[in-house]
Amino acid sequence: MEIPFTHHTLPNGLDVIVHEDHGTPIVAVNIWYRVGSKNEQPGLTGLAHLFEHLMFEGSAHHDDKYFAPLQEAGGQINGSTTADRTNYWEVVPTGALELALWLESDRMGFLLPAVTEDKFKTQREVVLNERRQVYENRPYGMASIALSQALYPPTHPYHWPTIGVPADLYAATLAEVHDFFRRYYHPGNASLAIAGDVDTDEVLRLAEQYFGDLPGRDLVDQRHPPIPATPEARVLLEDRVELPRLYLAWQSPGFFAPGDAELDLLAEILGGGKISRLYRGLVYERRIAVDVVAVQSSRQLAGTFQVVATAAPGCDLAELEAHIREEIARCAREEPAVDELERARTQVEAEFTYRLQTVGGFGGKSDQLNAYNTYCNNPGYFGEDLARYQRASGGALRAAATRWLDVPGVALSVVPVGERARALPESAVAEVS
Amino acid sequence: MSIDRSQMPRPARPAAVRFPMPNKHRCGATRIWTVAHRDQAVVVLVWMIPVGSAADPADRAGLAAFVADLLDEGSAGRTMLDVNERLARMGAQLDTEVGVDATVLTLVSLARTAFDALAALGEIVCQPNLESGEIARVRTLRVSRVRQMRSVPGALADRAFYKQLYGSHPYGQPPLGTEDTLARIDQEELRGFHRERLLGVAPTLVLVGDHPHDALLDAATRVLPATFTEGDTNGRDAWTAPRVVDEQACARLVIVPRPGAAQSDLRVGTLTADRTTRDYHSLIVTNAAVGGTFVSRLNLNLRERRGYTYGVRTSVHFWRAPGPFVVQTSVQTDATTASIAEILQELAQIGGPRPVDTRELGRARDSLTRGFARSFETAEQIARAATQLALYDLPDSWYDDFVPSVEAVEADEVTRVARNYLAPEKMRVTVVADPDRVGDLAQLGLGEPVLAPPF
Repeated sequence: MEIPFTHHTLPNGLDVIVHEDHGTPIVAVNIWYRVGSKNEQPGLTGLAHLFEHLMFEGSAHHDDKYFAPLQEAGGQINGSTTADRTNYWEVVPTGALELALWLESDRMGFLLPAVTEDKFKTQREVVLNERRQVYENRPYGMASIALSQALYPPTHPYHWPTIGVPADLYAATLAEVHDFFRRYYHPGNASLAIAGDVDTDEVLRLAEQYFGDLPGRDLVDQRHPPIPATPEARVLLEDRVELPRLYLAWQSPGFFAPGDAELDLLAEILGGGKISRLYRGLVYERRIAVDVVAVQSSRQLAGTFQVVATAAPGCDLAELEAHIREEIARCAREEPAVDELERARTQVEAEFTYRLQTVGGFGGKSDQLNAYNTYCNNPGYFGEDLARYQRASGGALRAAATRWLDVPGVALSVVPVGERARALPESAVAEVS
Repeated sequence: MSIDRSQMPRPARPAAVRFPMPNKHRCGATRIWTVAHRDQAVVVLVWMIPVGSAADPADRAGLAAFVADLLDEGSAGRTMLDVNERLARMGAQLDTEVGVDATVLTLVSLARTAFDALAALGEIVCQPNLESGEIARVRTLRVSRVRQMRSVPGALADRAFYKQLYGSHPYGQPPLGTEDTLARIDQEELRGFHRERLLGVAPTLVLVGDHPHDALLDAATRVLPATFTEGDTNGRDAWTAPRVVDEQACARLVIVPRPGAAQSDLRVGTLTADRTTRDYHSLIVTNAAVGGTFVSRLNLNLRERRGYTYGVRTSVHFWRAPGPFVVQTSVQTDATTASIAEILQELAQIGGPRPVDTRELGRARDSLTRGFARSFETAEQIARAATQLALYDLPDSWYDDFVPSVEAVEADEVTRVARNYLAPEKMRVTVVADPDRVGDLAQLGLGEPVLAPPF
């Protein structure tokens, strides 16, 4: 699987990656900044994400909504923040490429004059409403926050939630927000991918023209704390839910590290859909759960392997736990069947293919080029990435299970309000901020 | 080389994009449409049956969705595990969607296994086992899902809102059903629904990919059951929603209590028009201006000016019978009453005192027309677009006429449809919130809030 591209680094450090796809008269402009909530400090969390909001509110030469000119041009526009990075993208008709570049370069180079106390305060309220909508008011919504806090020590950058701790957001000052921008938002800390109905030489010329005169600084030091050992913990949350749910979580390898692809395949075999071992065991045969999934979510500094199952009415979490642990132990004991592994590989390959049908958006070709460039220093890592899965042997899957999953890990029970007794025995109330 | 930052570049007007028209074939009453697409790796298969949740009998809400859920739970004598194993080995991904007017199965497959995928899809749709063991298992899962929805504020809001809007019309029934209706639906009813409705009405197959038409057509013909070699697509009218919806005499303001809720979920809306309305383009332009885009009046007001919400969006649904215009948002609890008042105020303004200005109108129209090319990038997008043509019997020229039709919508048209359809006095409001902390809802002038029945 190859996505042809041209990669050029401007003198100010900005990576420019161009991929031509003339199928549709559109172009995707996609920028990644190497900053996420992992770059924050305890007590000052939520800034990376708050920033993503402020980036749409105007810059020095267009001190107004970024959505307006792009929507008028027929563009689609969005951004997102994770622990590791922040991305921004537009998909526009080809004729609006320069508009998108003008806007992206203006907010990269000239944002601060437009970031006022007023905008900061309004967007802080918007972000707190986002937190209520996406986490606090959603069933099981606080589970991911509780898990991060149980899995990582308070000093580790994956301990705190990307959305931020409300008290920190209230404590942050405009000056701190400005400092955050100066430190992380510059060409040397960014990667620009452009994919679509364009001519590569023309795009490189335009990139130089729009971004070339922005002052570059050195790449910001990235912290690389070692992956902490998986702690052993049993915690619980009460929530407005109908059915108790169990989360089992372990530390695991980060992006592209040894064992990452193996655990991905193992997750597929254990909990990827209706024929997976856990669905079959818990939902189809024993009928003690109404759903179950397993997932290896890798990130830059470390990954998390998780199994999540919701109890069927009248069934208890301890029973789910016993069955899941038995299946995990089996993975550490036996290699998967040859055809089971083959099937998982096919599914991974198919997902790759389906994701790359579009030039833009989250997960499309431009986003993927930037992901590989940011995490592997090689935008063309597609083939290598896929090859990891093709190489992974049954023995390697078993070894990865033994290396990473052969400890109790963190068990989080989410139970209906007032029904703590339905959590796993000896669970402490989870810390959630 | 530096650039002039005092002036934003003006985008060139995008070239017109033609919708890739399907090659249309008929096999008896069944329509088989193939569309050539340059993507060599993927083939998308859509099986659309124009029967959806509106076909649920009044006391059997959830029947259509129950049957659809059972389709891949075992077919042609194979078990659920066998059926899904077969799909997984091909890397094919099945999505089953039950809308009010149609049941649509979409199978995204790798090109190299497209013909096998089509055969598998044919079995799933035409020969489900519908055995009692499978039914019992799936029933339990569906009842659990209904119960889980009680703690999902958006699901509570939708359910109460559609009931408030449609009353006893089929669109007012919960598509998932209730614990009660799911308990009552028996094997005979499930089999009957499958036989008479899903197989009793000719489907449309839409196949999009790089394969030759003849090969796709031939493969499709082979998976069709004999039932469809004769017959009439119009048979579906017996099963679909009445085209007229009676005005409901129910409350304007309904509250679903959610004590301790971190936010209030709101739905504000009314009935508009059906899929054949001549006001289609005027309505979507009006929607874009009032709440359908990020820079719409409502989002700029509630999110960008006041910070009450993470976002507010409006949409208009065009169905076989008149669909709703709906404002959808979650707002901070102490701003519940103020947010509803602002929403009603904005709806009043756009239909009268503050009509859309030239800039706003241009922005609304351009957001719909200039990005049109994006809608047909992937095989799946093209398949879905073609499916809409088939479901609502739209003319072949529908997508090619779209841009000029939107461009022809003038400001007075927007004012007219806003006043005609979106007047605040027509709006029904559903609030899912902590009743003790929302403030005085009665001051909205919508009457006393009425408690929604528990679900």
